[in-house]
Amino acid sequence: MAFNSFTFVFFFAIVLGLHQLPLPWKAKKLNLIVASYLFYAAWNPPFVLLLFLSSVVDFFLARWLDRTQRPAYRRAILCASLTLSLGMLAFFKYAGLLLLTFTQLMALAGVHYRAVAPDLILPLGISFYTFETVSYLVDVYRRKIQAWPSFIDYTLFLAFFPHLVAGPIVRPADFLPQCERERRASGAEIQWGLVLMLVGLFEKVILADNIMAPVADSVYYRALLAGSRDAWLGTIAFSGQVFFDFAGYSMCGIGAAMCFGFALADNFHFPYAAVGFSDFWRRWHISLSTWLRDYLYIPLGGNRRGEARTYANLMVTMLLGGLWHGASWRFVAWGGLHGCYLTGERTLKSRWGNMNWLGRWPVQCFLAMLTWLLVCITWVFFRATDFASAIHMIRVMVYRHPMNRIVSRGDAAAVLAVTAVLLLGQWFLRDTTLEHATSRLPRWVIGCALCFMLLALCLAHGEDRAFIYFQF
Amino acid sequence: MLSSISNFEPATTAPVPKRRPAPSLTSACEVDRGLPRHARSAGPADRVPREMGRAWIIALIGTLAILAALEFNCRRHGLRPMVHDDQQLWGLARDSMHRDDPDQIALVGTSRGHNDLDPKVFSHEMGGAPVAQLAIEGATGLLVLDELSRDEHFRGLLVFDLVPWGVFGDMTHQDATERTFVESHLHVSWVTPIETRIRIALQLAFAFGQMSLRDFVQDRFTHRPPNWSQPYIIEPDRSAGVHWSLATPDQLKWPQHYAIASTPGVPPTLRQENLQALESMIERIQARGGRVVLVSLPSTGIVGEVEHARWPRDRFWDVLAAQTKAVTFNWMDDPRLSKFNCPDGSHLDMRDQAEFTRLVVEDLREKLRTRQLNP
Repeated sequence: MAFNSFTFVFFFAIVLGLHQLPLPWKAKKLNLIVASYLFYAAWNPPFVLLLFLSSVVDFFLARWLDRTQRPAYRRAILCASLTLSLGMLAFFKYAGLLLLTFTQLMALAGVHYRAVAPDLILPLGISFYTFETVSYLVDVYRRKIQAWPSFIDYTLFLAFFPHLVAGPIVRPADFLPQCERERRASGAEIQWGLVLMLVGLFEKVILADNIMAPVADSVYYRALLAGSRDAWLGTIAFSGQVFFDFAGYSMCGIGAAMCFGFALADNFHFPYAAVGFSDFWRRWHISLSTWLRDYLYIPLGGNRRGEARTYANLMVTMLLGGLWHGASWRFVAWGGLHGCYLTGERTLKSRWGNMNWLGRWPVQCFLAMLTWLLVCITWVFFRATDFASAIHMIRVMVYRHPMNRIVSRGDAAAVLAVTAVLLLGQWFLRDTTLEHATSRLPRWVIGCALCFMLLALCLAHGEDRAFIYFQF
Repeated sequence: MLSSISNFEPATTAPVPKRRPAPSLTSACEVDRGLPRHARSAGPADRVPREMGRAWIIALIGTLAILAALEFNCRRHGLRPMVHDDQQLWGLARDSMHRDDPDQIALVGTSRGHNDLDPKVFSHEMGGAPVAQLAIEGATGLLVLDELSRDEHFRGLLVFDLVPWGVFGDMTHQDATERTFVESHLHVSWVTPIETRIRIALQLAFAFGQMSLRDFVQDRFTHRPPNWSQPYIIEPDRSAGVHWSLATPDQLKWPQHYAIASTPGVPPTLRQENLQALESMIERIQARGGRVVLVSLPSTGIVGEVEHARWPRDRFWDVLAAQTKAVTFNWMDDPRLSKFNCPDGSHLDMRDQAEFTRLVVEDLREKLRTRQLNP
């Protein structure tokens, strides 16, 4: 069930109505668990069992881990748990890629081996909830948190529908304590939660699906025929689409959770106003980048083992981060490019990072634009259907290459106008929050903005598109 | 220039309280000293800017008032509520097909089959057999034919209206819309029919749903008067038709432009591989007791002339008809059908649809009976 569906509107109204009833807190939590499982079962009911199995296994392993004192036993339990969680993820997500790569390597060696492709359906959200169970087990192992005593709370943590399918990746230390006392949103919280949901839907349905996606699709479907103009337009459109799509989903999730009295951490903070790539990763998919930092980069040694090792750790983290996004070497290339950017930035910063003139606003503005342009180039690997298309697109983006027009002038104007508003808006809001910016506006202005978004949603036509991050 | 990238400190000029962004990937040392790990919040209350009740009231009253005015205006100009012909509606028609029913009829193909054949009349003339209208506007129908040929539960009659450029042209160029329709049906969830029914109910309740936000905005920018005509009709069972008397000149001329624009200099040659691909799909259906009829529907005026010049019948259609194991029917074979005119060159008017369908079914019944007697 997607947030941008009528079914979800009815589902949400019923679940919220039940949550507002004067019932015991335990009954309300059970209501949320049943609703979350129903939400998940809307795609593929059998995978509910997988989610439940993951909850049961990791809950009891964590309790066992917590009780055990001998380090060797603790390590063994952690390894068993990680093998199970990551093994399940690897089986469903990467079996096809591994087999294909193996077949290609054999072909390179002159052996013609044709494997039967595994006919597996990727369980929705498995990448997200696997990372949540891993963070829980690792935190318990590190004695940062204790194993949570309530199975109901743990099941809700893993399955809570606002973050289940496409994040934000929630940390146990953030969520589980919220399950202790009754959460019932105040009127103001529900109102603000609904505002966030409306803004998220507007971003997804109008900006991503109606304006950006048609242009990105038309170019990338015929990537090998695209000239410089269309390659840039298609890539800029996709950079907007992926942001509006994913940030819109996260905002809907945060808003929906708020309506039930739960707080989820922000997942985006005006990323296209980032100055530099480390700043970009502080603002883009925050829950993933902090997860990778805490559970991969730091355990690898972070930046404490010399420069060379720091660069290697950065590259490994970004390459694996890329692979997390999808079972394709294109995502690895995307992560690798970001890894190169980060290492390059680190090198340059160590030499020239302290110069005062770098802090002046025109320079900052220029650097933000440069960062955005270089980020756009990485999106080519993310969106292209194969390496040949990606390389062609980058080539024509770098070298002028006139060809027949794919994108009409009107569509091009719409994409550029929305992108300009996006970049300017993010630049002016980069050091504040949406909450703070909204609190400075008169109510009638907010009311008119909400009215505009509601009307646009009512009048929008177009193809229904799944949220991009559902595929991960 | 590149050296400046390394400066990633946030600007410090904003006069408002700042929220600390999460520490970056490269700031592991900071993290290890115990600074906040990521943006955390104890509860939602600290994230609510202020009470939004009044803003919501303004928004809801404004939205309802504008939508009511819009609805009134749409109805005043003669627009009536109608369903949208999208992948969900197509999926509903596809799902409505009876499994393993030899009487089930599927109409597959292009906009011609969609607008020229009336599924209700077709069903009536075939003795009440269930008919699913699966033809798609702007598509060739080949992906749908392929999908049905792979569905072991389809054992009925498939009527495939083919256009020459679809079957004799470049078959590797498959329509994106058709692919979306077929793929969305293959990956349908149990919630989809519920969602589609809610949508249909809403689409049939409000006429403003016929207005497109994109067209509305474009009209404002180009100072073009709004187009209130509604020539294309679509029913919840995907029956479709065109009232050509309501169409704009652009709508009437579009197929002619398309036909002329898609006529490059080099004349096409018949590709045997296309016929083989088509035949393999037909054979899959016939192997489990199903029947396939290949139908050529009318094109007249400039479109007809261009089509007949580019894809002459004796070099394309007749070769296909001689080779295929499917029953074939060309509208030119029945003189009674020559009286029908396509106002845009490619599609009949709605008022001719019922009679045209009746005559076509009569011919098809005869052809199928002959095939049964002489297999």
